[in-house]
Amino acid sequence: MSKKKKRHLSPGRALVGTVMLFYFLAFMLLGLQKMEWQCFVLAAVVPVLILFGSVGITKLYPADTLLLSLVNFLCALGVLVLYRLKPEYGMSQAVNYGVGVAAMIGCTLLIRYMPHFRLLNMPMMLAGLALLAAPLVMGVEKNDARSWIAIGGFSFQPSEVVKVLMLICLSTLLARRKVIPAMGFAAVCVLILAVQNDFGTALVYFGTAMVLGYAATGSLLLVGAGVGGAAAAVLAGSLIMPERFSRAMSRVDAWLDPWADPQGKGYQLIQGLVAMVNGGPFGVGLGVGNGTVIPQHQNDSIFMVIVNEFGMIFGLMILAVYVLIILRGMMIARNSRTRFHALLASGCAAMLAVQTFVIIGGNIKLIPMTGLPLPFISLGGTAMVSCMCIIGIMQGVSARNAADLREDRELALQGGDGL
Amino acid sequence: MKQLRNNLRRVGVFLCIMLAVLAAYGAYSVIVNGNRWFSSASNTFMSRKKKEVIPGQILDRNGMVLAFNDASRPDQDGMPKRVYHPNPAVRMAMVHAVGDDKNRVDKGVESFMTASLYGFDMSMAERLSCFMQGKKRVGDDVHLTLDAALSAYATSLFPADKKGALVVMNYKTGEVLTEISLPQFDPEGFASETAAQNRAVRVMYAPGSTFKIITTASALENDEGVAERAYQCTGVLQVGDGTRNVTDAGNAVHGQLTLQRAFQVSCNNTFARVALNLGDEKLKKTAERFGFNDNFLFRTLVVENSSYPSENRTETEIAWTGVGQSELLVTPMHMCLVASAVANEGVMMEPYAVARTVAHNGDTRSVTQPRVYRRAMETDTAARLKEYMRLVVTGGTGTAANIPGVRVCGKTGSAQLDTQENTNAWFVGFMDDPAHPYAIAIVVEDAGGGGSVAAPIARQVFEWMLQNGY
Amino acid sequence: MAPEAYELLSMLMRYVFIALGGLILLRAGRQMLKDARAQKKELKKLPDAGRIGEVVDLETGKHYPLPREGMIGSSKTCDIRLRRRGVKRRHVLFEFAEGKGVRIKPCFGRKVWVEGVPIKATAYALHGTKVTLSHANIRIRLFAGLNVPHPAAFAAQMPDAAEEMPRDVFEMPRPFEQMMLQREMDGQPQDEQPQAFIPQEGAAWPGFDARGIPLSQELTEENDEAMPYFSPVQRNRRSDRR
Repeated sequence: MSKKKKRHLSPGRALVGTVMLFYFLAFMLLGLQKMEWQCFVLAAVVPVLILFGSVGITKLYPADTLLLSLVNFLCALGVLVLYRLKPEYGMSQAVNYGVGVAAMIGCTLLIRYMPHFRLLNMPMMLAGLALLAAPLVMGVEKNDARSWIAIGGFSFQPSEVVKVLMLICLSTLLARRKVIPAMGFAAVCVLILAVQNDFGTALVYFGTAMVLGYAATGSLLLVGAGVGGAAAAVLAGSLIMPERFSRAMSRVDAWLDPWADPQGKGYQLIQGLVAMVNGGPFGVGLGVGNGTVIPQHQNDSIFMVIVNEFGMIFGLMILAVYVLIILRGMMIARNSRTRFHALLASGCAAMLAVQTFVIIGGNIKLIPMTGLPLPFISLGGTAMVSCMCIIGIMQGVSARNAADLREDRELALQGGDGL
Repeated sequence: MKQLRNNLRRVGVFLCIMLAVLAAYGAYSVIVNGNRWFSSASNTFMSRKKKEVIPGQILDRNGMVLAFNDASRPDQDGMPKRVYHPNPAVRMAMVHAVGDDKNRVDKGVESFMTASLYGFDMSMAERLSCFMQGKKRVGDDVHLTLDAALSAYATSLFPADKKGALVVMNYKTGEVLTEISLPQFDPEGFASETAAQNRAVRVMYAPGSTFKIITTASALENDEGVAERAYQCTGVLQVGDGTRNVTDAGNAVHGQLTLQRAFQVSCNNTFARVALNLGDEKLKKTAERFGFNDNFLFRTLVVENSSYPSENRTETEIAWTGVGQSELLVTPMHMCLVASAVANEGVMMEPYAVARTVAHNGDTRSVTQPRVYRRAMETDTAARLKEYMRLVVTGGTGTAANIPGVRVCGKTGSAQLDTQENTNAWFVGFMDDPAHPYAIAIVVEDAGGGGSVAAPIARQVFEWMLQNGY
Repeated sequence: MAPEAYELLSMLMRYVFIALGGLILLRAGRQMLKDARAQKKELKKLPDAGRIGEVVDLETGKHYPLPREGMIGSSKTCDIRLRRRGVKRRHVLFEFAEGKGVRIKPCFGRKVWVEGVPIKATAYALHGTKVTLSHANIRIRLFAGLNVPHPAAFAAQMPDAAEEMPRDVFEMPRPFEQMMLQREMDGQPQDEQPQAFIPQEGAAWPGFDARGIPLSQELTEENDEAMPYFSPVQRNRRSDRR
């Protein structure tokens, strides 16, 4: 009886069903621990939201179901873990998710119906640079390196907004083979961010620009020049602004030997590593771990909380989900008709990949720690919105590919009215 | 577009590899360092666990209980108190190896084997059955390779008020039989900071003339005719700018001698010359083959890394390195490993202190198997060095270690320190007998000559071992 | 719930979560593979997907598919690889511009002529335009239904003429040739100058219907595949004629 059902169930529906089951069980479990009615309500609400988010949205516009399912899985994981840490976090993350979905739909429609951004390119670039530089002028410093600005009681991080702008601008420029202006724009962005001490975001911008540059030109020389230029800039920075530089270098020291200062600089890294090892391969169990000990457990080190409670195997699976999202992005890029769309989609995938690499790498002591949010999972309004916008852009390109394919099919069969 | 598609394919592969590297590095660092991080003092996840589980016992190789929880003496939380061996001499001798419940000793067995002691390796079935029966869970018992009686006896041999360390190993398997450090403290009492340090594995010393084992090994392997060459010891060897010329202990002049004779009498002149002939690079390579500059990641033991200096390698420094001074830093455990390598035909076995862990219900949960750490030198080099070390004990500086009828081999050392009036007395050696495969390393701080202070201790330890069935 | 009991339950559930996570991964991976295969199949069915026409090498007669944008040159990475004398590794860039045609842009310092006119910056090519790269001549052919101006040289041909090589079939309309032959056979005077046939808007070319499909062949399911993917009559959006 159930076997028959499974055969008719398309893998897309089965996937969504599994995700729904996962969160139903997870929230029920949490509910048993906390004995709060909100948990049980969430156990019903979250799976329904996932169903809507994955399947319902496709009714609104031709969306990529697989991508949506995976992204919803990660977002819901964020809500789950944040709720377990502190219920307020979970609620605010759910709100962020809602805003993010709206932003995603907006971006998708934008990319789907706007064929190119040639005219808007220059204004976008200028606006981007202005937004990036804004924290230097009217900024509010949070957590030592964060660059936030506050507008009328509502604070956000402009660098997250400019991420999306930068992707579009770079893709436009590189599609027309204007390599030098593109790399110049990227370099200026990276410099501004570095001056603001936001090295994590600077690294993400840099990585994405390098990847896009290589994709557009195919020359490793460009990548080498970029890396060399970055090294030269770091050297120049160490000579021009020695105290700022030494502040940044203290992070490198903490990375090299955190046990030299286990209660001070190395505390975050050590607690994260200890949490990971405490989890073991299968984790200590949802709700059992001691994740609140880690500083920044709600954004930077949230991956460590997940690995602590769900286990290292589960952590690897989450990494695999990110890999699948990136591969999907690359597939969408390969199926694109124009250079612009191909570069745009691959830029999105690259940005997600680099950001994930930088934040998880910092957590497991592969590279020095930086204050970056883990895409889709970390608490943070602007971060969630920008990541969802990136996914929206990917979906826009995918929708455009589908439309192009339809157009080509009509062209071939009838030789008839082109679009 | 075709080129773009090709590039995109490569980019896709690169991004996937980038994330795969993440996974691989994470897995690797957890496998290698996992236990260390778990047992570190910063692990606050354990504090809650410790209230729920009764830790297992720690026993020595003969089954003597060194640490257990006494239900008849509950502490303030109502949990059974952690109690150590009733004999104060025994528990003080074992305190550095076993550790204590207040975490004063860093990386003793109490903290390093926390996972086993607190039952983290218990299977789901065991946990369920404990839960069902309503009993508190009890962790695994840890059986050590160390011998408590030997440790207590060895402690009594040290001169009063002198600091130092002593390590005895089985060079065929790598089992550590005793690892004591002086000064000691009572785990049930107060500990000063110096007393809490484990000098056997965590404190660095200059090896002194015991390093000549490595210099000789380097010379035998790199220099063809070195064994037959004749050296001339004039008492003073001019090196560098003459501010620190190489002299011998007591300003002795040995005249003409071979390498073997020089080893026997521990002639600094000769070994300085040998080191200069070899050159820093070859000597460093041999030292690294012996484990210098390596990151010791032994399974059940945390040993501080030994270092061979890499800066400021002037002629003077190289000469004094050959003699065992300069900036060389070593732990007594490592010197014991060096002696073991000579005894074991050039193969250094990995030292381990935990023999096995046994669950509360009697099942053996894990057994530590002997493992080769590295090959330090060729078999024929080891055979020659063994002969040289035998001659030290029969007719050289180490005659105080000789036991009639037993092939004791060794090397003495007297490391000079500017901050001390007397030298650190060193002795490393072994019994060359397949039935009694034991190696020893002793250092007594600020005590005098190795041959006069450390060698007799070695002799007494070996005698005790032979008498007690080892 | 009691903490110890909850802990046990949570420890049991972690295996469930890992299993579900693995299932999710498996399903997602399988769907991705399926999508990739379906896409490939789709593209196989439409061999001209993403293309806007073809390029004919006039000397060798080879046809190359023309994508929406790309590069022509002798390098392996070029979309159209012409290994001819004088063609550099990266010779021209081309891009389809809606309503304007194919924008031809020579790479730095390359010799390119469009219809015999050397170009420095950009030029637009339409259906039938002859482009010369150094010593190689190619002809651009575009699919019907594309948003391009009416071509300079009017083209009409029989379906099987597409196989014919290497004659440049656009110089003279074939039916006119036939008309001349017919005249010859009929013994009519040949000193008459052939009149260029300028078709009126909407009028049919002899042998073709108003839509441009040859009368001899009906467009059916079976021979839909066999039909060349362009039709003789260009539908033009703007009625600009030369």
